[in-house]
Amino acid sequence: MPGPPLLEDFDDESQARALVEDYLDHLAANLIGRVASEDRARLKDEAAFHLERLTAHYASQGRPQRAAAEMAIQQYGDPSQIADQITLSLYEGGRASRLFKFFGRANVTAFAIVGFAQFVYVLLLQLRVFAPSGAAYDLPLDPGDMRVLLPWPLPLPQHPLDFFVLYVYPILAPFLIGWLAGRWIPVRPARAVTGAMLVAIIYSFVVGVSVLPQTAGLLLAIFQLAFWLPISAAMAEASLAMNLRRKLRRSYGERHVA
Amino acid sequence: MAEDKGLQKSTATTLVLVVLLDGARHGYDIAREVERRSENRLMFSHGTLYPVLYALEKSGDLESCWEQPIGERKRRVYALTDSGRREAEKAIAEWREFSTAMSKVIGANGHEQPA
Repeated sequence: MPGPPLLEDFDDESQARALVEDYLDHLAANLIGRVASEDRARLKDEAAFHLERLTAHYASQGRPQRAAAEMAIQQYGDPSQIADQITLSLYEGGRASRLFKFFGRANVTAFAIVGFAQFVYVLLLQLRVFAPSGAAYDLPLDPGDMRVLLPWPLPLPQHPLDFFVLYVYPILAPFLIGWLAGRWIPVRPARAVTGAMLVAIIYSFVVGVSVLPQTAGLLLAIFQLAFWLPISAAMAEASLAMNLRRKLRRSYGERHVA
Repeated sequence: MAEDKGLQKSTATTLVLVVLLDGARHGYDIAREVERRSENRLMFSHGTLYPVLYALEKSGDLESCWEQPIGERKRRVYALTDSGRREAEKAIAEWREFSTAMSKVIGANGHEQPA
C-alpha cells in the first residue's frame, strides 16, 4: 500500500509553498496562548508576505523555488526565537508605566509575587515573635475544640496552627510563586523569578541576621537559596509549559497535541 | 559586519526609525533598505524586525495599516508618528555623538580613521 506523499513528490513551486506554510504554522504555534489570536493572525500574514518577497528575491537570482524558499526561511530566522521576541515585545512594550519600562514588566511582576510571599512570611514570623502567648492564633475552633468535634486522631495532633503557618507555608510558598509566575509571565518566567528571589534572599539574610538569632537568620536565607529559588524557578517554567499546552489543546484539539 | 542572528534591540530600533524617516514602508522593505544602505554589512534575521516594529507601534512611535494592491498579498505598512519622528531625530543625534566619541578614542590610539 503506498504511503503518504513525500515533499519530493511535488513540483518545485509546490514544495516551496509547502515549506513556507510549514514554517508559518510553526511560528503561529509558538505564539498560541502567549499572544492574542488577532496578533497571531497579523504576524502570520506579515511573515507570509515577507517570505514571499524573500523567496522571489532569491529565485530572481536564478535559484529553484524550493532552494529560494529554504534561503528565505533561513534569512527570516528561528521561529521559536522570533515568537519569544514577539511575545516579549507585546508584553513589555508600550508606555504604560515608567517602572515597567525601567525594570521590565516581567521583573516587576516576579518581584511583586516574590515580595508578597516574603511579606506574608515575615508577617507570620513577626506574629510568632511578638505574640508568644498564641493569642494571635486563636480561632473559633482551637485544636481542643476540634478534638471534641472530630474525636478520631487528627493529622499532626501535637501541633497547633502555628506549626502550619511557620513550617508548611515556607514549603508551599515556592510552588505557589512559580505557579503564579508561569501564568502571568509569558516569556522566561524562571529568569524573572530568579532575579526577584535573589533580592528576597539578600533581604532575608540581612534582616534575619540582624533581627533573629544569627543562626536562624542564616538558616532562613540558606533555606530560600536552596529550596525556594530552584523550586520556584522550575515551577514557573512548568506552569508556563502547562498553561501553553492547555491553550494549545484548546486551539488545536486534543489529538493534534503530542 | 558579520551576520548577526538578530540585531540588538536599541540598534534595531534606531535603524527602523531612521529608515522610516523617508516615508512609510512595509517590513520587508525596511529590512532590505537597511541592508542596501549598509551595503550588506548589516545582515540580520528579518523576523527579528517585527518585535521591534510591534514595540514601537505599542509605544506610539509608529502607526500601521494594511494595504492590498490588486492581485497581490496584503502587507502591513508602517509610518512614523510625530513622536516617532522626534525619537528618530534624537536617536540620530545620539548615534552621531557616540560615533564621534568612538572615532576620537580610536584615533587617539594611533589607528587611522576610514575615509
